Amino acid sequence: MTATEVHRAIDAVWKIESPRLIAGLTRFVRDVGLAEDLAQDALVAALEQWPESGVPNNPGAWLMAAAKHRAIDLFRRRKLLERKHEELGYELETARDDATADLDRALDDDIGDDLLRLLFTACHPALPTEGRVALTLRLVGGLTTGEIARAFLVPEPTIAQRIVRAKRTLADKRVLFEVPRGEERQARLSSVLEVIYLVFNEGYSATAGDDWMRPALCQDALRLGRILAELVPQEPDVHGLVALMEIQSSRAGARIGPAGEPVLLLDQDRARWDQLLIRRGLAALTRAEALGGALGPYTLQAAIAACHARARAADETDWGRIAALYALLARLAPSPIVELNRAVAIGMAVGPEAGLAHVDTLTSEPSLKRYHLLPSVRGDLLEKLGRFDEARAEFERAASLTRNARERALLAQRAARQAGPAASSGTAAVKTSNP
Amino acid sequence: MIIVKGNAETEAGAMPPEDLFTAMADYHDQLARAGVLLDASGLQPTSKGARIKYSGGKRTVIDGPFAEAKELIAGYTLIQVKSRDEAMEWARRFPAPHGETAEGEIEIRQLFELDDFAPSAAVERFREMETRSKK
Repeated sequence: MTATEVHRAIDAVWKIESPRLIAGLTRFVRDVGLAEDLAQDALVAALEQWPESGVPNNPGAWLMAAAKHRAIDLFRRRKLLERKHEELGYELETARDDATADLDRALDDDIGDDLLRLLFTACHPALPTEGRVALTLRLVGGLTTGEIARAFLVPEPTIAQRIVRAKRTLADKRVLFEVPRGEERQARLSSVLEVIYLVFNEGYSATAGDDWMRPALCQDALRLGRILAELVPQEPDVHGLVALMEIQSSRAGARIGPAGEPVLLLDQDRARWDQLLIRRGLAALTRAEALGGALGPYTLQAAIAACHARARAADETDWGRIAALYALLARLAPSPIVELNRAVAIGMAVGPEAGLAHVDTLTSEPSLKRYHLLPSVRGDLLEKLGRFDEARAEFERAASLTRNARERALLAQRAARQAGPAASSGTAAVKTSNP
Repeated sequence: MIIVKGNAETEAGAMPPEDLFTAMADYHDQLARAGVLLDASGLQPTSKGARIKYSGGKRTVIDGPFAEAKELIAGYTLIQVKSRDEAMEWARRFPAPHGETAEGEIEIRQLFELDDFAPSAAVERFREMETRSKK
């Protein structure tokens, strides 16, 4: 291999091995920042030696061994070795004189669990959300600071600062490197799911013409979700989140039109939906549902996405089921947006009159007052009821509320179409969420 | 896509030896735990398959089995990674498909994604067709 080839291979190895490497080291040195430094030292050693010796057969083990040696050197220099030996003593079955052997055993245990511990730590609620996102993508996602910065459209030093602050907060608050159990577990797990889905949405909301790093965020989030699902397969809403992301990802090829404009879900060319991802999403949803218990919020959203995914054409959509699922979601995670989506589903399942009745319960909702989709939904339902003058007024109002030029044009068009007798046909092209 | 080439054993429909089976299972488990596995399957021997040959405007069905076992596809693994280098690193870790001491070959191919198709009249027409045929 040429030098460049070796460097690229090392880069690939790093992306694959660094999360587990950092996780294992964190358990040993009890500090995420120090663990990352030691891992980086091991990477430097690899960059120095592998061009000569070639990429080893088990690169992960090589890096871990290199990092361990650095750790031992460090502790010797800090004269902490004896204290470390004592601390480790309670974890080990037999006290050994050979300190290296002790460290070996401590590190080789449970690398899988260590990755889970790292994920929980990086998503700790003591950190601000932006810190959790940056730290998770860096330590568990294997992204560089630069990649994270480009993905979130912020300067690289900003991300670097968020990571530094996050590590400092974890150290200052003496956050334990552990998998939370008992009462704390669900809340901590929710925090992890929230971070992963936030990353996904950041990528999903990116439109054509954005830096290619942004849609790639969906892939990173999906990968993190799949990793988590393997680490805690007994947690149903984790599979629910994975299902949701797989199915939403399946539409990536259909969401942008030829002129770069966003295409609403109901207008999308379903031949462009990735059936492999849909199959994976439906399988993950089945896993979530099979685990029993009440359906979590991500599982419910996934079930709604699955209703669309199963329909070969828009007019085959099981709107009744979607309406029922939104009703469950509204109870579990109430929000005006959920109610708005529910109104659309009711309108399709029962009829525009019923849908309108539900929308009208939201007209005094403060958070929706300047939300263009509320009048947009109302306008669509009024149009179906043949109340064209009222529909036009609603579409005009919706157009005035949206800041997106293309959307404004589309809404203005719909308003103009209300001039004559029923011009609407087929599907309700009403956007209530990212298609 | 990682394509596993066949051999006389796979064509005979023989069950792989235990250690090979375990190595393959462990490898795919690692892919799953890394969140990069999309799909994988072994393919049954060509004796159960068929070919269709296109020539001079005609098509001919030919039932298996087929010869040249080393060139036949015995299985595939589909992974999702962000670079060719990552794909190669995972491919490098693929267990020798017929056993560590036996001959074998895998091939690594990149899937086309929609963005890969350069704009052209034919592609645009294809897209238009799909849009119109969509119900």
